[in-house]
Amino acid sequence: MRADYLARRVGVFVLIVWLAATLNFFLPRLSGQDPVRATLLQQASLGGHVQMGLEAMVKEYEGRFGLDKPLWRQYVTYLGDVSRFNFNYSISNYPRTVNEIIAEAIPWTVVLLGTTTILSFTIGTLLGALLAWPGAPRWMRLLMPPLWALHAIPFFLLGLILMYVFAFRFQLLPMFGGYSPGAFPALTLRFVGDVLAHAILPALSIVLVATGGWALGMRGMMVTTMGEDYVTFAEAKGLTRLTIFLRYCVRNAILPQTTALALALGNILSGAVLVEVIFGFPGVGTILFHAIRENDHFLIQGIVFTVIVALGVATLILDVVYPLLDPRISYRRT
Amino acid sequence: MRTLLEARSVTKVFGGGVFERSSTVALENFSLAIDADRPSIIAVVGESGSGKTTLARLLLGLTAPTSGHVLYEGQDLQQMSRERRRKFRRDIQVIFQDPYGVYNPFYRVDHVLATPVAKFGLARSRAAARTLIDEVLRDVGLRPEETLGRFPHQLSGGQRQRVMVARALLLRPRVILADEPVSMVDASLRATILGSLSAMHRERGISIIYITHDLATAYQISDTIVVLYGGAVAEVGDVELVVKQPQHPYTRLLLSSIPLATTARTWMSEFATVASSADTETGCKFAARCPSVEKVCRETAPPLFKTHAARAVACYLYRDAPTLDADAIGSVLTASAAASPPASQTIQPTRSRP
Repeated sequence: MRADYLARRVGVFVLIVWLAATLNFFLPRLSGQDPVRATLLQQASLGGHVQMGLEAMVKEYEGRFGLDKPLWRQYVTYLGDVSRFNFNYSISNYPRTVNEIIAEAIPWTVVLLGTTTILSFTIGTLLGALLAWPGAPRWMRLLMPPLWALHAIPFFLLGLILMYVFAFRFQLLPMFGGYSPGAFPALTLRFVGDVLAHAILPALSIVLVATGGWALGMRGMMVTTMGEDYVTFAEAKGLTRLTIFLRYCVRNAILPQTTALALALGNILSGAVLVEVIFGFPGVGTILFHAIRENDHFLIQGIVFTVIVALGVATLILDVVYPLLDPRISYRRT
Repeated sequence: MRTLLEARSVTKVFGGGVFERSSTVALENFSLAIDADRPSIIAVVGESGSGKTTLARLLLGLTAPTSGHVLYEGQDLQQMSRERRRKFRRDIQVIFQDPYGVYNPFYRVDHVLATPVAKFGLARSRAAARTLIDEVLRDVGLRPEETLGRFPHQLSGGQRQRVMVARALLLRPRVILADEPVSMVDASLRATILGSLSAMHRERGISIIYITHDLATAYQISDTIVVLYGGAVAEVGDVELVVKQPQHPYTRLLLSSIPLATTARTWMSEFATVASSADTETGCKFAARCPSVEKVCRETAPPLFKTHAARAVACYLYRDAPTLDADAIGSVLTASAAASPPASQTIQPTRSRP
């Protein structure tokens, strides 16, 4: 690994983040809506007040959020803030800050998506490898059609079906939320159990769908790899079947899978917005959904920016680590 | 005669399953034997699709024959015990055509040399193993310090193929099966690799089965030759006889297809056409392309006619000669092997052995 490569790669990373942050700044503002006015109007109509002094309030709040300044000033302030991971107040949840809200939601999403991604990757890859292997038990072939079918169903649709069957029909599992409404978050066995029970259905709907994708990808790569000459040669050398399977077939076939895994892990934060929304799971997806509905620029910016940084970091790590995974790739200049 | 490796009336049919309309006969009633006491170099020659690679896979036990048996020291490859198979895997070494494809890209080239040393206990210590590996690498003309520690993609095709030859050497096998070992390396390296192979044969008494489509190199290194066409033996016998005076029309075609660096003969002027789809099912496989085809050729496939103590031809042109059972090909091969040394000595000047 050369230092200049690493430096170049980090430079590209910074450039991508800056571009994304810029888009992130201008896109919500193109909608032409005034979030402050809308929020205040909503609150005013709820309270039954007349619109007296509303304009003054809008001015006051816009001043506080910095929205009264010219666009370029706002942009410069925004870039400065963003580089320090400071996203200001949430408009719809004032006076809570965007950071507070995101920090609260991130653990939920990371745990749910992180676990399900790694779980479905492991099961799917192993299953895919065995599906292609002639020495695997015959009954495994029967798994192919259901895997295809599950892979074709979107996450959220399967989530709805699961919810209907397990939560509504048989009432085995809770339907909604991250934990029971009365429960108080604490590190007790009871609360943890409650959280797990709530997480089963969303996790299941992700794992079932994603496993099929991983398995099909791995199976395709395995079939290609098993046709390689070095596998035939390994057989002629008299290597054991296990060695050929693990060191020659799986080892080579798994490369594209690890690339996909790194991207999937980087995509965790925004990966299952709809699943989170359907199950009312208190994760990043749900707050993003609400932020968009309520036109909360600052919150949208905060979440999207976090997602972009996560994805960028995942790609960066992948690029740096890849030569260790595949000896054919090196970053020496030739 | 004690046979080392033997194919006995082997037939291999691909396809013909429930969902496939047609099946392909890759090899039909093929027999071959290698004498355990008298090592030889046998060339198997044929165009693509003639069943050469199928033959290699069958001899290695990688594919099971549809009918017939492949035997190693009298034992069927498909019914070997673990221990016997281990010995077989050591005694028969293979060199494949494609030096780019046979390496697992994850391992350094050392792995392909060090693993057999460890697995078969060829050296007592690491240092002894290293000496052994250095020695075989030098034998094939590679410099160990430039080769070891590299990944396959960092070596050239010729270097990789020579590492393969070194690996085969390292194990001191009794038979080396070389499936088109030089068709993907350039001409200068071709000589080096073929040279290593025939040196192995001369100095260490290793039998070599040299599978190729190239009659010229086959003639260079082999004692006997088997010409395959469409999965069946067209002509078999001493290489001098077969190449100098080809009898089967297909062998003649093959010989005339060799481009020569001379203007005396126009290349491709003869009947070098591709077989038409009207290939006969029951008759001689070559009937559709044969210039001297007769009615009987299209009806029944010709048996082998033994035209010489060291040669047999599957062609009705020689129907006066006594027929030879396919199983008895071995007798022709050993006869030629016996006749070969004096023959090759007499004609030594014209035949440059590398």
